[in-house]
Amino acid sequence: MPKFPSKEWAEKFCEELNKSETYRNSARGWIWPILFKVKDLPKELKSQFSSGSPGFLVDLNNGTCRGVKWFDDSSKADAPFVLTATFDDWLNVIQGKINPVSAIVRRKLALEKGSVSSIMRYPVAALEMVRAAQRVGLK
Amino acid sequence: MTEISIPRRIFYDEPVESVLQQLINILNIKKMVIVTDKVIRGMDFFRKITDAVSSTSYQVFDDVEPEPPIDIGDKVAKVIKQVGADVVIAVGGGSVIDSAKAGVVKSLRPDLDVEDIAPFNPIGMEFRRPIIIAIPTTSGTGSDASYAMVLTKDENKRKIKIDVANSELVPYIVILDPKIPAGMPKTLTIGTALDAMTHAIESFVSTNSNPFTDALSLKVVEGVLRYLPIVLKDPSNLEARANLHIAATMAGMAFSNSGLGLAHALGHPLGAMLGLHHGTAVGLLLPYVIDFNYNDSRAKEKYDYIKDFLELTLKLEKKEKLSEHIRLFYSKIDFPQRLRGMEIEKNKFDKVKKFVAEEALHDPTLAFNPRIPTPEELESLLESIY
Ligand SMILES: [Fe+2]
Repeated sequence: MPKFPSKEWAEKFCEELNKSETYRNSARGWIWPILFKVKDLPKELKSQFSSGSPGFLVDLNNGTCRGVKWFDDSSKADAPFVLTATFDDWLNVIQGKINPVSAIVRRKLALEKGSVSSIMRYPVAALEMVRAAQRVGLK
Repeated sequence: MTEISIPRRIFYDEPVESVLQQLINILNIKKMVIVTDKVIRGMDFFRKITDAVSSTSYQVFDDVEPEPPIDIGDKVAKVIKQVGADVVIAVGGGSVIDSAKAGVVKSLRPDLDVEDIAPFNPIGMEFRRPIIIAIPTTSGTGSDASYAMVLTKDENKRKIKIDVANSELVPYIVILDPKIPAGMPKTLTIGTALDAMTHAIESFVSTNSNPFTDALSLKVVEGVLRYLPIVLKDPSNLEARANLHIAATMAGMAFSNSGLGLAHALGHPLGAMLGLHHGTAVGLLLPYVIDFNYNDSRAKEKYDYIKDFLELTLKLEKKEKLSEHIRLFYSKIDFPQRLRGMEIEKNKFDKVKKFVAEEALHDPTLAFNPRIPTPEELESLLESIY
């Protein structure tokens, strides 16, 4: 199982999305890549990423994932939708402790770029993304 | 940051004209714009409102139509600037109140595209005039208490909803005068009350609910079940009307901070396709949605909480499920429990069913429903309501 966050984890996540029929159907119409940024890393990861904030871009288009890009320093990356959260808050979302859309309106996941109302129109896809992340697993 | 936003001051126990006269003195209001529509402008209570503010210099903007377009903000803003208004009074339902909100935004921020309003970016309305005073004329939508704003835009010959939210959009003052909705016909009284009840129940079980919204929601459900039958029996009972009017605003305070659920996600396209009143559509769906969500253990716990609360406060006979109380209540007020009771033909319904299910899956109100349905589950739920 790849560890979170890493390039391998992001690639596996993309694969899981492509395997999901629910995702394919519910994300039809969503054509924007999303950049996921992770901050406040735990000690053991801090030494690995001097930037303090790695991230990955998931190229989403009409129910498919067309690929991922990994960034050791996510401040150098950009996308139409940018979501930032602490390592712990990402874990809470991925483990299903908080609904992803709730996490956005409560600012646990900070939407740095992109519109909340667009995300609100894809509630099924948002939950399926969490399920796909759960299938990748956490180490 | 986690917060709730509600109006600063709510007046509820005095005629609107006397509240306005006092506010003009207290807030030193000199110039105002009254936003409304042409129907409301012709009503008796509207004249009382203009009489009450006659010591100020005011102008009436009555060009609001249902589902206002996005450029309504510029039109209202133009009048606000002409008058140099300190206050914008919105007298009406959701469309009027949202038009007033858009006007104030554009008057203070002409550079800002209304579509770009985001929940967490300051607009710059706080601590600035004009402030908004909302005077709701029906007891249902709750937009007087909410920080959302819904406008429309034409795109490829289709009308698209633009809904944005920001805590600065909450009206500063709300005035609740039960004499205003007292003129509503029976069907509208029922529709708006069921809308408020559905707001409250969906808010309570929303995955985004919180202690503030929970407390408000419980009192709303109790209020609708207690006072709607009284109003239907005696439409002139102002005390019961006042309680329904308050309940609608409390429901707005709750759901705008917690979100709604599947009855609204389905009710929006169903109402639009079949020409049903919004409150009738969501009210009809509510017991079916409760039964559907009951499979979710957290939702079941919360529905049971409402059920126990109602049995205690209204001294109801104990039942297994909340939906049974709702169904009994519907028979008590003669509200149809199935679509076939509403003069909708079966083949007309069959034609729109699939579309309604698809639209519901992309309705923003679905995001916080306790159980996310599959398209097949939605179609079978819809099948059962006919
Ligand atoms: Fe509603």
